Amino acid sequence: MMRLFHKNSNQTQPKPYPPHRLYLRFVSMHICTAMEYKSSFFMSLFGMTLTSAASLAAIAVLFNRFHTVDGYTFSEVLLCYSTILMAFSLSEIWLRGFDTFSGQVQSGGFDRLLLRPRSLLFSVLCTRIEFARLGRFLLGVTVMIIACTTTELVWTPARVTAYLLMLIGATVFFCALMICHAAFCFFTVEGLEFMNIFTHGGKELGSYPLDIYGSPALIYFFTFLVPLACAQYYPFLYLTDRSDSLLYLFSPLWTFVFLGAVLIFWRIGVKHYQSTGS
Amino acid sequence: MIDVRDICKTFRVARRDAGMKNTLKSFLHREYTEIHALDHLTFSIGAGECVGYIGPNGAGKSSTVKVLSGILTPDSGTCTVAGRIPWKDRRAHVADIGVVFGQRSQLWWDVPVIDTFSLLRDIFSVPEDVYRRNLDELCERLDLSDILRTPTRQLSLGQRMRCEIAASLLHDPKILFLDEPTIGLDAVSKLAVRDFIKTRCRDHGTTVILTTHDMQDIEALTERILLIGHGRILRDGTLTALKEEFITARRMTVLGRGFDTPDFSSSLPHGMHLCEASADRAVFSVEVGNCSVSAAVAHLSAHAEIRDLTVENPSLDQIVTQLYEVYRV
Repeated sequence: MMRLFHKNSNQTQPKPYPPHRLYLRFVSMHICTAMEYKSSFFMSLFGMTLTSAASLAAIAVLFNRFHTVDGYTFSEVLLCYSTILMAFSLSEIWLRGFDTFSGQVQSGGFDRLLLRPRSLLFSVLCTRIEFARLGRFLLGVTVMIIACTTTELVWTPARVTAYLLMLIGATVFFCALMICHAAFCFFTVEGLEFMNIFTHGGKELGSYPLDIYGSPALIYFFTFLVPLACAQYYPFLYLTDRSDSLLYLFSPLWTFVFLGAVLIFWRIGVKHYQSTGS
Repeated sequence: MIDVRDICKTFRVARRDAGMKNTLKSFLHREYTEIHALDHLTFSIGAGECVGYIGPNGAGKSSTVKVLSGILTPDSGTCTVAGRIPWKDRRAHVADIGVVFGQRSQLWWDVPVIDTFSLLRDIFSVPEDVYRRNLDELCERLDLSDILRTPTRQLSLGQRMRCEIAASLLHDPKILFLDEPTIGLDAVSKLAVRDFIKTRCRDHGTTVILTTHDMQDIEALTERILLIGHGRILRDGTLTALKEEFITARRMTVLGRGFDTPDFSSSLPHGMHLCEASADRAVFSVEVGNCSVSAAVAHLSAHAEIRDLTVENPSLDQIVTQLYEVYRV
């Protein structure tokens, strides 16, 4: 609908600059900015990687003593851990603008975004890209490769599909959480730390298959309210032959519905902001 | 160009009394007060006009600018800017306007100014030839050539404001909103900014709306003034008319001799009053309409010895203070 508007009423600008190219322009600007502060960039890159490596070490120590936890082997848990870490760091790198959105609202920077002839989601997306989190992603990739090579699983096309769906679903899930967090800022900028329960909490809990915690309530919560289990637990059961339900295989797609709901919430938030202007 | 009819906007503001007890009380039950930021605001501005928008803090100036630029949706009323309703058609609308917030930068802090400019070119989809032309012109008029390659963080406030203005004009907007553009600038930069706005208005026919507390800005730039208070337009008129109405007396300062004789002060012509006097200096107030300046000077030269004489009108600042008092804002 927005596109139609654009076409009809913008005769003065016959050729809108394509958004994907504009996004690349922003990416290069963010790289330039990051390179202005090289030492800070590399320190942050190193620090972020180190914190994630610490939680990896904790898993390694645990399995060194027990060999399996709740029936899951070391490489299975590593697969789970690396997928969530990759998904989380991807969303952190590219959607950092949503993560730090409360600052934009408080400083009035969002007003400036409203003055650009671009979609608001796109404008916020472009405000920040956090390359320092790239270290976490690379750590995730490394662990994923280790997990894939050490596991006894045979990589059939069905399993590859399950794994890819899992990765995509988890990424969409964390992206949706970040946008949801940002949308809350339209209503209040106080007390939004509770969202970290889902983002960082989701990342920590998601390091293991969710049934390891032995709480059905937890799984229900992360299935129906915040669909982390759909992107992690269910496809993982399919992947490791604990279930052959196709519903489990395709459950990561449910995160797109979650994303859709969050985008509706975002639009409501924008309307609210425009009517209160605070 | 701009047509505003009966715009209303009410904000709800949470309020509580001081103290711990009231803080806890407000946690359970919040009391709100309604603030009528805009109260049946109505005015219109023609194409190419340069209008000064003044009023005390909290009168509704920024709310108006926000409504006109599409950031804020009003509760009721209609408004068209360049034929569009700003908040209904935001993306098309903002391509036609330029907004400079004195305290809200749109320049990238760490990269050279020219990089921000070329990014804005792509954000606003400005064709390359138009961009080149505008950039050349803005560089020349605002004297930017030497600072284009400097990162924003190393610019002085005056240089930054010039870049800020250039940044909001790269896409050839029909309307330019300036929200306190000269705040914090030194005299030279102020003059440069004013001079630029004036020529821009004249040469490009850009409609300019200027909110400011700096009366020299108004005096230098605008012929028409809109005074807003309590969310309403209290006065809409030319600067000249305003002066005619509010300049009721001129201040005359005389240096010389013979002002302290009782004879001198009792024989003053009608409409001329002695405010302060010493042996060699006197200050008079001369009422406009009752006593002409020439009559006052004639009287002075007849009864005293004049060495130096100055006549001053009240400053625009004083007039505006008076204006605020008259309208009780």
